[in-house]
Amino acid sequence: MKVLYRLIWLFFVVVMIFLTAFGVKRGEWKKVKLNAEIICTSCIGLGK
Amino acid sequence: MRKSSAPPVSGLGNKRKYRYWGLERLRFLSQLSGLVITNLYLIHLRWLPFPVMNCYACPLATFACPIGSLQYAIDAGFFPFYLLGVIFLSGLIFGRITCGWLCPFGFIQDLLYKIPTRKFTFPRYLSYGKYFFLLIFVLLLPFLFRQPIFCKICPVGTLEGGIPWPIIEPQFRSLIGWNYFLKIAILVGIVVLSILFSRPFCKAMCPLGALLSFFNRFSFLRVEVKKEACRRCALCAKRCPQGIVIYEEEGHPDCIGCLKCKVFDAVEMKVGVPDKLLGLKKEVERDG
Repeated sequence: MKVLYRLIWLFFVVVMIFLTAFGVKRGEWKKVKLNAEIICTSCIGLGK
Repeated sequence: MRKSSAPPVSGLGNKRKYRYWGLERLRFLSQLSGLVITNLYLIHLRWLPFPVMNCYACPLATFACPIGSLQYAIDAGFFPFYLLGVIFLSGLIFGRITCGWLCPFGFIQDLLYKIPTRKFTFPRYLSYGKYFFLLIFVLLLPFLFRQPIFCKICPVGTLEGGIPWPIIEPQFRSLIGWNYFLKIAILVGIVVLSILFSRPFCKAMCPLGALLSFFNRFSFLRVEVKKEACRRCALCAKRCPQGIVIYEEEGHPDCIGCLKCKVFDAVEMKVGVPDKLLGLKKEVERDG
């Protein structure tokens, strides 16, 4: 049972690494960067 | 609402007092480092969603806010593989330990709680509030209205962006409206509550804490109790800022791994691939 839990945990880690790599390949990190570099008026409560 | 527990080192022997203050100093330094690292100003790593609450609208911000970025992905209509991968990977490794050891807003709340005044215990049912904010304000409303709705009420954004920007850039002052005053009111409320209660924002409002809380039962770094060494005296529970009875509630979603309970030998910080799901079996009965 202990080995099974460890394997499941490692499986999840591999899945998350795969998800991250897939997102990076799709260029999502560039979108995140672009969004974070614009001053977010919603965050600071300005505007409508 | 009952009054909170005794001072943290009362009833401890000298050895345990030294261990307590040693860990507290280490955590203070770690939290201070977290505050500095997330606000370095000169280094821009805003492509990386760092798993703590730190607003990317802050003029000094180093990283992207994971919650702000998640809402942006929902607004922009793309599935956030990269964001979820990074956040969940952090959860699998650290659980909510980043909340207790790195989060700048958690650190500010901890500092406010040190102000000497009467302290109260936070009602436990309110800790479900963070799931409400995650589901409604971070996922549902941004999907319906295509706007970062949580950011519009987030006190972290007010503190780190809302207050500094109108001071630095005078042209922003003309944009101040009702939402700004709402945000200021929420921030003032959180500040006042943080003086009276330990970490009210983390317990009741933080959507990132809600996301990471699911991993507390099986993270690589986790707080465990050695059942054979535990006398179930509940002294650890009195010291827990989250009000957790750790020997009955291992892997509790609210545990931030602050290790204030570590002064007792039965509590340990486990490092390694988990071989069980914490908190599934209630092996001990509550005393009395």
